[in-house]
Parts: sequence; structure tokens; C-alpha cells
Amino acid sequence: MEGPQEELGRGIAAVLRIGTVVAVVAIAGGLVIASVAGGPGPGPSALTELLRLGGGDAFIGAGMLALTLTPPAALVVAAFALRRAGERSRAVTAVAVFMLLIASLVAAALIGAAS
Amino acid sequence: MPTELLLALSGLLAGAFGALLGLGGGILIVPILSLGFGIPIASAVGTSLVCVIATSTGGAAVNVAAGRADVRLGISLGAGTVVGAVTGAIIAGLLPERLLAGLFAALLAYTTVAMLRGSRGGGDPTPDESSSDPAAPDGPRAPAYRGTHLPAAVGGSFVAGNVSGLLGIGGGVVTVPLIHLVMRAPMRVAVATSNFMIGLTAAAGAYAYLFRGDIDPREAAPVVVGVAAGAAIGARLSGRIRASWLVILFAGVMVYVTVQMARRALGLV
Repeated sequence: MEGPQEELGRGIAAVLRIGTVVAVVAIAGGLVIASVAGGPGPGPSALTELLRLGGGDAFIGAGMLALTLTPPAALVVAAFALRRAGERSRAVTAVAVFMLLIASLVAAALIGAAS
Repeated sequence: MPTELLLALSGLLAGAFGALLGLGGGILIVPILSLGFGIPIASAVGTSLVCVIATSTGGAAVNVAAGRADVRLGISLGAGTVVGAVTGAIIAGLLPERLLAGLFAALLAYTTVAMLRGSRGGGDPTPDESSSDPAAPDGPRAPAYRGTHLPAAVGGSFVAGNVSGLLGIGGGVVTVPLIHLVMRAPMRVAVATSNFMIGLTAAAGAYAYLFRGDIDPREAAPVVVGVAAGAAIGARLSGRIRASWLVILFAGVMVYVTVQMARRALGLV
């Protein structure tokens, strides 16, 4: 039977692996779609704008967002595994770092929308 | 040749070189995009951070599954690097281009000297972020070490995050010595743990660049795909190529790039 240590390692590794593959595939797919569609690119754009544009650029934006969300997702898995292992304070630390990351995402989105 | 293909090839080269030399790739990507393609440094830094996440998560998945990284320590220090990275990314948006170029030139010079000194000493030329060690903190053959000076290390990790968010690198140049020298963790544990932390750090910094509209998707996409592919190729090639040759070649490139970055900082190019 799998112990808490192995569960922690395997869970985080699985999230990191899946997140990376999904994100890179979305970015590559978006690039192919944008190239086939032709036309000029949108230039430097905020992520929210890219997602609104649709087409290949939206895929690229979604891929980049997925990539940046992969490390926080690994923290969620770590928090659950640590909680199950009885390491409550470490689980709380993982949740705190996750909250910091999400707060930075929300703050960046709000500041970007306001400017 | 279309620009997208050139960007993808540059990313491939940076990813492969980075994996062969144990670097995240950011130290190469920013000068390539800035000097080679004329992309503004803020945009190059943002693109680099997204690339660094890809190389970190790919490598960390292997290190964490094998029990090489001290995940608990990485999470504890992550609080410092995340806050530092956000601060660095905000500051980067306020600094003039020439000052950023000057800071990056200083970082390049430091990294080149550290790499050459490490190589001459017969050790690893740089922290090898993909190296393996059967003895791991969470593994069955865990090395007997106790992390010391945690508050100081959290403070140091804030600095690492700050450098990452400001200059678009992973921050391993700060976190590896911090974990190894300050916290007394074995070198390979420090490298693997730093690799895990880099994803958290780079993600925190990348949000500011992504939502501020600094990143051009058509420029970033081929670089990210190229870097991810290059890192996988570099990892497979490592061990087949003599590291000493790579270090000499790499040092030559770094000296040239440092000079070019310094010239940009001084307004000469």
C-alpha cells in the first residue's frame, strides 16, 4: 500500500506532468491555428484580451495561463497529501503559498484591467 | 526563414543548452529575445518567465516523483520567493529599459564567473537542476540532514524571488546556495528543491507580465514550445557531451552577451 510520502511525491509529479503537457500542446496548437488562419498577430496583449480574441491567440493565452496555474495546482495536491499524513502545519503553509499565488494572479488581473 | 521558426529554434537552443548546463534557460532567453530579435526587455522577461515555468515543472515532476526534492522545504521557502517575485515584477514595470539591461549584464557577469570558477574547481559547472541522487529527503535512503536557519532562508528566498520577477530568470542562482550553504542541505537536494521552487516563483512573477500586456503571444508561443522541446533533448544528451567543452563555449557566448547588454545599458546600441 502506498504511504503518505509516496502519495505526496506521486500526486505532485502527476499534476506537474499533466499541466506541462496540456499547456505546451495548447500553445503549440494555438500557434498552428494562428499560422493557418494567417493575418497579423495582436502584438503585446493582456491575457484577458487574448482570451476574448478567440482563435489561435486565445489557445496560446489559455496555454500560458494553464502553465502558470500548474505550480499552484501542485500546491493544492501537496496540501491534501500533507493533511492526510497528519502534517497539519505544513498543509496550512502549502495553502498559504497557494493563496499568495492566487492573490497575485487576481491583483495582476485587476491592475491590468484598470490600466 | 519566418520569424516564428527562428524564435522556436532559438528557444530550442536555449532549452537544450540550459538542460545540458543545468540552467533554467532564462539567463539565455532574455538576451536572445532582446539582443537578437529586438524585443523590449520587459516583454523578453515576461516570455522568459513563462518558459522557465515549463522547464521547471518538467524537471520537478521527475525530481519530486523520485523523492529527490524536499517538497516541505520548497513550500516553506516558496512563501518568500512568491512575494519577492511579485515585488520584482511590479518594480520591473517601473524601471527604465537601460537600467534593466544594466542589471541583467551584472547578473550575466556574475553567472559566467561562477560557472568558470566551478568548472576550474572540478565540480559541477553550475547547479544541475536535473541531476539525480538516490539519497533523497523523502526517499527510503534519505540523507540525515536538518534544515537550519529557516527564517534567514525565507528572507533570502525573498531576494531570489525578487531577482526572478525583475530579470526573468528562475532564481536558482540564489536559492541553490541558500539551501545548500545556509540551510546545510546536501547539494543535490538543494538543486532538486530549487527546481521545484522555480515553478512557483516564475508563476508569481509571470502574472504581472501576462495581465499588464507585456507579452506578444505570437513571439512567446514558438519560444515556449522550442524551450520545452530543447529541454527534453538536452536532458537526453547530457552525459554524452563533455561538460568542459560546453562550459568554454557557453562562457564565450556569455561574455559576448554581457558586453552587448552593458552597451545597451550605456546607450551605445
